[in-house]
Amino acid sequence: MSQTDNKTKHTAVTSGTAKKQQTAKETKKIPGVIKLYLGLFIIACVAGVIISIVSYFGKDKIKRNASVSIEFTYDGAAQNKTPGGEQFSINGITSEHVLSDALEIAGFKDKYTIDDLRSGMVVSGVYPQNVINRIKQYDSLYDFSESRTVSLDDYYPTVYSITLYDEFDSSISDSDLNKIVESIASSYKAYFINKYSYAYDMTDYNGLLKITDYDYTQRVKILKLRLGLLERYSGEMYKTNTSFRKNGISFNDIMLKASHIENESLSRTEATIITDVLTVSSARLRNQYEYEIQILENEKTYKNANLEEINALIDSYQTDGILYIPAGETVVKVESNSKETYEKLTDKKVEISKRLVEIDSEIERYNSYLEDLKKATYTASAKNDSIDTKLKEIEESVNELEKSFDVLVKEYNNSIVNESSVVLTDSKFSGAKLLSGSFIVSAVKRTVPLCIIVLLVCCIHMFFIENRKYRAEQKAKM
Amino acid sequence: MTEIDKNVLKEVENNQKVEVVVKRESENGTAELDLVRVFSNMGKKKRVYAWVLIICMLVGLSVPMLMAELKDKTESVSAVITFLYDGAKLEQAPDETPLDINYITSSYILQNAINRTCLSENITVSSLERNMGIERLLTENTRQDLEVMEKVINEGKTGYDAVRDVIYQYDGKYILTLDNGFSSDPEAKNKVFLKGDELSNLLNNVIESYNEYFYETYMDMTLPDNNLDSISIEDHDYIEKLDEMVTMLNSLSEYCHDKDKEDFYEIRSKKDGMSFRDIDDCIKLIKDIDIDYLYAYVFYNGIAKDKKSMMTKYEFQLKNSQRELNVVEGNIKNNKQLISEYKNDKITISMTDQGTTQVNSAVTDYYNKLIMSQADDYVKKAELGETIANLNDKITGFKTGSSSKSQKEYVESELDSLVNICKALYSLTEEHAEEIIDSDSYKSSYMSYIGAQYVGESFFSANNIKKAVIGIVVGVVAALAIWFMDGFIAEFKRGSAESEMKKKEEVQA
Repeated sequence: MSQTDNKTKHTAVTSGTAKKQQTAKETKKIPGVIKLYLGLFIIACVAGVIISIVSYFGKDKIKRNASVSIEFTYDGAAQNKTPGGEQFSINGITSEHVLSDALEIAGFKDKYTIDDLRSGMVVSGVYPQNVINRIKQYDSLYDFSESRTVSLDDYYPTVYSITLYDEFDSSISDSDLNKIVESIASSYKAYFINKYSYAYDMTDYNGLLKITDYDYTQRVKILKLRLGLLERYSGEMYKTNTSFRKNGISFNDIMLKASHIENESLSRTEATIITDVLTVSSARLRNQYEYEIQILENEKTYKNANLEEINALIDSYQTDGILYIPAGETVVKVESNSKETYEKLTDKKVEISKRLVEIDSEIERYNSYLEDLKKATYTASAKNDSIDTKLKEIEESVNELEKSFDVLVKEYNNSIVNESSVVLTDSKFSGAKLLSGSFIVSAVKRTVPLCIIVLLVCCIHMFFIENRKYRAEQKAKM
Repeated sequence: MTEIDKNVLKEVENNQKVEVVVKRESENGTAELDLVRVFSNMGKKKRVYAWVLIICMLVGLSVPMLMAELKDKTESVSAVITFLYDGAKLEQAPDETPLDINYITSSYILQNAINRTCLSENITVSSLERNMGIERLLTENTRQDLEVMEKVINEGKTGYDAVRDVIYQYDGKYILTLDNGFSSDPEAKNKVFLKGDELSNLLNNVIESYNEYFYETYMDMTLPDNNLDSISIEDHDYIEKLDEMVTMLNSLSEYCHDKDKEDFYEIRSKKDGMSFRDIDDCIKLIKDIDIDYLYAYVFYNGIAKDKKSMMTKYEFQLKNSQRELNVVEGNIKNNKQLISEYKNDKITISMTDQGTTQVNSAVTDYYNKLIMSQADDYVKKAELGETIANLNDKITGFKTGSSSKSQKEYVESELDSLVNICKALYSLTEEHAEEIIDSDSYKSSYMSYIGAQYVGESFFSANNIKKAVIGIVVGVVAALAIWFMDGFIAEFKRGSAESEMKKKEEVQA
């Protein structure tokens, strides 16, 4: 049978070569079929592209928009704070101020309204991927592997993207849309820098407290208030930035100088006023003291009575003893509300006693002022004049200190909140265009599978043709 | 043994390979299929089948891709709201009433949101509400505790008692989810889908309108009434005007240091650097050196435009206060009696094993209430007493004082300037409040949020890649199967052709 084997082998070989010859022949013939296949292939590609065009402009249509990114680079932006440490919100960008400026800069003030812009604007923060899942995540105690998703407590974006859609005017040109969105961003930047600047301007308040209208003790009070406000503000500024200096002055210097004026010159002046009983109008002063004393005495009488009554009430309050009841192996303490009530009563008592102590000291103070006033002799007009000038001097130094603080604060603004705190990118346009990246991606996604399927069908068809031919050959041989 | 068998054996001897021979009983005799030849057939066609393999792999890749593209994507967006004020973790609103987060899906808020967003489709409030979900986040500690407890329960360990009391603490964080696919009927097939950014814009606007509602409800920045213009009415006498100014300044000062606004107490204006705290100090100072100063002068000297009517007025007030005082004193007397007669509950405790009994009295709530109301009445009595004494002094002042014309003129001019000062203070406070309301921090003091994010599978997600890989593998397997089948069929045909030939030979022979 080896012969037949050989024969079959031979026939196999010959048929193989024959087949090859045949395929060679067929390849010359096949062009017709291949043309058919190519035709089908091209039809598939075109169909894919058409389908994606139709859906791109129909179902999945992207609205025309221009977008800009704003990045905040100052300290604290990542914690959602303004440069001043308050809560930040990007909502300022849709405020009237910003949008009307933007329209003016872009030159469309007469064409579009602020509401037009608002209807087309979308402002959103740029968040890292997966941020929601990471916030939902918690650090499992059991599953502490290195490859776990790291959980996030909170995330505040420092980059925001502003997108302007053509909702308000679908006939607007691409470049105009870009122009408007860029001017919105730059107008917001100017607004931001302006808004978070500090200032110190006491002119309105100082106008209300015109020193010369008042008596000396009152003038001292006014100056004390102004120095106190200055000290507080400069202290706050110092805390936010201990190293800031300009022209050799820091916030700390101003704070110390203010407290120096208060503790030295002002309190000395105050002491002189009180001991020498200097006043512009002694009659008014006497009125003041006597009035205060009268009111305080009234209060004292009735508060004393009140205190006695409360004391009696506390004494008569029947508290219960502390009770322990055995329960199983432990003891349980039985309490009612008496402790709470007792505490409330005691609180009231303490409040009244405290106030009585205050009243007593004030009455004493006024009485001593009154006595000095009665004893004083009024030839001291020279003393009055010197106090007048002294107070004026102090006022001048307070004015100057306020001014230099204002200057320092403005310098601070310039260094901390300035052009580099807000970074803008150029505008980016995206719309339904045939050459845009997203269209190309969706076209590829649709066309490639179609083409592959067509290819497969063609190959299967070719395979069957070949097979049929082969079988026909075999049959012919047999 | 047939010749075929002998030949087979010879081949076995020669080539020393093991062959698997399939014998099939058929009408035409046995046919043998040689598996090795199957593989060699396959090998012959390997170029063809290389292409087939590649194509099958590509088909396997593209079918899931197409399916993913064409499948109905139900996407959803999520956002996180974090409440920033103190009571949020205890689920309280800023004014310590219970917080109802579900209000965020109320029709008022949702309609507002729909109105603000430019949508290409019409979405009704009810369909929007159905697609929204709210999830509350437990704190990390609570979740870790729960995890431990679960493990303890699952493993049946003891020590369950120790972890039993897991306190559910919430973080003040809520996750809002909005699904795409809106319909008014949950069973409906035709759902309305929003495209592109519209879904996230809608969710963001829901949160925005909820935020606005929140600060409109809980933050009240309205200033106290400005009744300064009514002070200029000629009907009022000096002291009355002064009293009104005092009241106004007091309420203005309270406005500044209101506890609800304590977040804004220290915020400085960007125009003049003053904060509510500073303004409060100024108000207190002006009240002291301006108003009280003049008040003392008028009070002590009994200066009035019309003494008689002032005295009448104060005497009337005096009578009222006296009457009030009488009522309070009556209450006090009654309470005193009640308290002294009140018998508290007695508790009898018997301790059985010792056989003794003990009697204690316990203070009841009613008794406590009596005591506290008595204490409050005492305070009221003192206050009324003060008022009466002061009124008496005023009346005496009017009786004894002599208000000259020059004094009256002086007081009048002073009053005018004082009214102006108060007006200025009021408008300065108002400006400051307006600046705060305009500031960003005002609108973001109650909550912060992470804007709507698309939470769904990207095209290249693990799931889709898995499907693609499966597709490729299926393609490969199919290609190999076809290949094998091809080789097998060829061999089978050869085998049956051989047996045919044998049959013919046998027939011939």
